[in-house]
Amino acid sequence: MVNRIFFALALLFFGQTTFAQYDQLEDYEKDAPFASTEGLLKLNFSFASGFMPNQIIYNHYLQGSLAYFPEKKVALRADFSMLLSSPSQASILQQNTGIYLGGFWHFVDKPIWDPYVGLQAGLHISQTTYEKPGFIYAQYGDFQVSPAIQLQTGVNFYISKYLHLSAGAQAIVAEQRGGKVPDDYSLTEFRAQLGLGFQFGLIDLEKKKNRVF
Amino acid sequence: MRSFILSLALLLALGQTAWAQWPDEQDSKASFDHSAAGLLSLGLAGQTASLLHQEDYQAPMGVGANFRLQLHNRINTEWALHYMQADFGEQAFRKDIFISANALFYPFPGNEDFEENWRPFISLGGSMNYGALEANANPSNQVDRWNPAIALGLGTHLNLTPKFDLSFSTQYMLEFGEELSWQNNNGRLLLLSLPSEKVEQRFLFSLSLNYKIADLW
Repeated sequence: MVNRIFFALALLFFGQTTFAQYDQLEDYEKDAPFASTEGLLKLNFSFASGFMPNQIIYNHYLQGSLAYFPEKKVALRADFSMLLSSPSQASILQQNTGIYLGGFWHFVDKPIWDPYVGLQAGLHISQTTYEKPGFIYAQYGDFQVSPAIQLQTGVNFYISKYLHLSAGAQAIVAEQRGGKVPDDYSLTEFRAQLGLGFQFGLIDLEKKKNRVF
Repeated sequence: MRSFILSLALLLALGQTAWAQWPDEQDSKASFDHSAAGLLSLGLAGQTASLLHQEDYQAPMGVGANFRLQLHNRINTEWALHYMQADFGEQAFRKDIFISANALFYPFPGNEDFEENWRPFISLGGSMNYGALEANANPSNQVDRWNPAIALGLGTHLNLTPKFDLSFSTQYMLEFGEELSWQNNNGRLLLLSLPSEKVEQRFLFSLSLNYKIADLW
């Protein structure tokens, strides 16, 4: 299994070469671990590192997602992210939890490699510190809820029928207003993530084909 | 968190039921050919707005959820809840919640089965708008009010599949009632909600992702 994971990671970096060995999409699809993405339920956990360009700080996150494919190539997906640390010295960010819902487009129906793009809307719950005159230590502001939009792209690699690896990039647009911070605090961030996930088919495609209405 | 998980489970369950009615694209097409009335879809949206004649109001960002229930091949309805935030001057920000109902009219015949990519629409509707101002540095300093509004708009669906669409729309909204404003009174920030003869006018720009989950009749 370890060899397989190393192999998978190597493929993530040299995916282009791997694709070159398939002359036809049909040949490629023959090697796919399942018949179609349709009916698939996917659970994924990932580690992400992010950069906030307006604050010039780096953050680390734990992320999770649950996706369901109601039809091939289309996934409805809920994402969750939680701030693990914000190690930059200039950072006043204490909490930054995001919840998103949205739709994803997957480019291949029977994938080994599964590139995708997605758009999500959600909310961020954040907390920052602020300086208060007469106090030596920074004070904690109130939790604030902010609207957020997230654009995601990436690729899944299906190791087996039930397991996949993922790598992706995210762009998040959000802004914390209020919370005792005198000015706005931009939560806009670019993240890169690596993850591991499980998938299972919820629909028997053969039965579905034969159903008469 | 628990209600979030329950909602998600409900969504999946509903999706499964709807899917059972449309075993594949061919069947869904046949269903649409007969009538698109009864189609129910759920969606999520991102929004921004431009408030006319209000210099303090900076470009907001909002998110929302909506569902659509189609009544006729050419008439759809959209029910939505949107939440927006925007800077309002240097020391305060504004929160808006719109609870809206819109009728979407498809002016061009054809594409009733949503098989082709584009489907333009004209929208007309009303909403109840909650607006609040809150001081950045002092959350207890805030003022709010509810106002009725009407909106007329133009938009289009971009059908990625017959059941899944990306929709763009622009609405011109007229809001009646109290106006939110602020004053600086000897260094103290005063947030105000006062009756106004002016009608608040804004353009609303929305981008939403929608998925048809059921054919109800």
